Amino acid sequence: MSNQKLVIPQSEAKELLSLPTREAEQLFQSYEKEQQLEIIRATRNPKQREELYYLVPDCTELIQDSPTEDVLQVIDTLLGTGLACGLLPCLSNEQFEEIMDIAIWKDGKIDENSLSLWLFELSECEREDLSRFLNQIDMRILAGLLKNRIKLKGSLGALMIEEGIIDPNSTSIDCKDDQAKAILNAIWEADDTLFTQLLRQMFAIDKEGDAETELVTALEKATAERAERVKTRDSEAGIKITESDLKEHVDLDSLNLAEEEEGDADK
Amino acid sequence: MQTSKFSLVSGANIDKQSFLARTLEYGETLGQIDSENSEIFSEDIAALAHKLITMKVADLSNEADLREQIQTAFALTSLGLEFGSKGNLTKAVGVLLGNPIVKFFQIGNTLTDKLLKRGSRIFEQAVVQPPESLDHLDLDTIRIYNHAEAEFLDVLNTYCTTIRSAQVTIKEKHQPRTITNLSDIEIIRQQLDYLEARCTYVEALPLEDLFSIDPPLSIAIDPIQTLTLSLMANLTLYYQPDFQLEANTLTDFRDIIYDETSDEIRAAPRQRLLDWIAQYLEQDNQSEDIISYTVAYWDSCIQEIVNHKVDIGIYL
Repeated sequence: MSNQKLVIPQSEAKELLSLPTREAEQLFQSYEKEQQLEIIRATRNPKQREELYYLVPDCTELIQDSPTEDVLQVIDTLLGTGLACGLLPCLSNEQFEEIMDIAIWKDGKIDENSLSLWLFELSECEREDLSRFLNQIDMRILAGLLKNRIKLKGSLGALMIEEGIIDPNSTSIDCKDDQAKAILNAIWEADDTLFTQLLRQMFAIDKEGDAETELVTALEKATAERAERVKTRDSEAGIKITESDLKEHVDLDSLNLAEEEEGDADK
Repeated sequence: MQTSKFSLVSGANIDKQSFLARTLEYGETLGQIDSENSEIFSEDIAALAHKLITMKVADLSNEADLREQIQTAFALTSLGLEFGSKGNLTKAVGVLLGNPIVKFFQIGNTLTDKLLKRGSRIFEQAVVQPPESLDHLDLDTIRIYNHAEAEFLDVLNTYCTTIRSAQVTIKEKHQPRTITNLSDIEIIRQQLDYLEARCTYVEALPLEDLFSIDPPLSIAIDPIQTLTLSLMANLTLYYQPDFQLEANTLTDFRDIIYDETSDEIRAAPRQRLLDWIAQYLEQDNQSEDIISYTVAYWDSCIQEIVNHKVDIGIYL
């Protein structure tokens, strides 16, 4: 027989949030993990949900067992402040990839503002965490984001990339804005191999076609792969509707709707 | 009805007045929709709203954005069902049971998408641009629509409306509310027709000196109404199709067109003006629809000068 205490999640959450921190921590930690998750799930205000996560010494497990959209909602309240780096390291790689597949895409296209915001937030994380997350972000997407903001100067740039001896402070790299420079610096500090890979992707080093065409093709592939991942995850969650379904238009003049007659439903 | 499975949509309610809610209720009354069906519909529409949120909303912590997408999902599905069943509840129950719920969303989306695009186009393009020769003066464009109409066009982008009936000029506006019925769609379509007709009317006018009018029309509360009243006043007083108002012209015009003793518009000068604009547009080969709208618009402008008899200065 289970020795779990009976709790009503909504009222329990209310009580926890009204208690002094120490008492709230003791009470929250007295629950089984499933009960804690239930209390968190029942709390619809993301700021309050964030407070509940902090009632345990390490909320990694709770974060990783929460619905991804719920976690993203909490992170969204912190995005742009640099404070999300307290929670971001708790995400599993799969969860981070899932979050990226939602957060940096709008209407099936990359949302550059959101991606920039996320990269800024990530750059505030420990270099080890940043490296882990950067490896989860599709390199083609990063290259797409930065392609118009970073240019290669002089004839030596491509050679330096090819040899892997380039860094963000190289005179061959021309950043159009400070944010692009900060992103490049963060990537370099987190993982120099990744940094070189990114530049190779951006400037289509070793590729036969021109950089612009290569990048467009790469982005199309990344978009298709992301759509497939989203579809698989949705299907597992019982969501049969796809983004393409929601964008589809119908011919209003030749609608052909099936109609179930009375009694058919019982058959 | 409450949806529960998808956390971002939890607690959302389908508007009981909507066609979708009425269909579900009617289906239950008929015994064709049981609690299991009802639960499936709730889950399906919750999934649809959830999908729409993750696809459209940039910041999931923004409650207002979440609510907007949930409303959109419910409203478009309901509109699609109403269109697909021609508003017949018995047929609606049948088609609801016979097709995936996303089909109705797609119908609703197709219906509204055309209107939204038309609305955006009017919002952006229904302006008179200063000629290139005056580029150096940095003049403002002249809007074809007034503030209430600008708000109507603006909220249309979020599947909302501010009107309950189509009006020659929007004067009576309400708090924005989600488009829920096919009748809303018809009203909006009619209103957009009116705004487009006004554009055509304005484009047909001799606009050469429009940007030399003092004070500039761009600062008027309703530039096209002011322009039309100026034209009517000059036609009545000086028999000239001019847009520039001299001192007292508008007051003198009102004295001619409006009989204060009987509190009525005088029939003869009013008719002369309406005949003038009808003939002008006929000669410009404009369609019957444009002519009848413009005549109604001129009539509403005449009415306006009477309504604002105390403060005629608002047009100047």
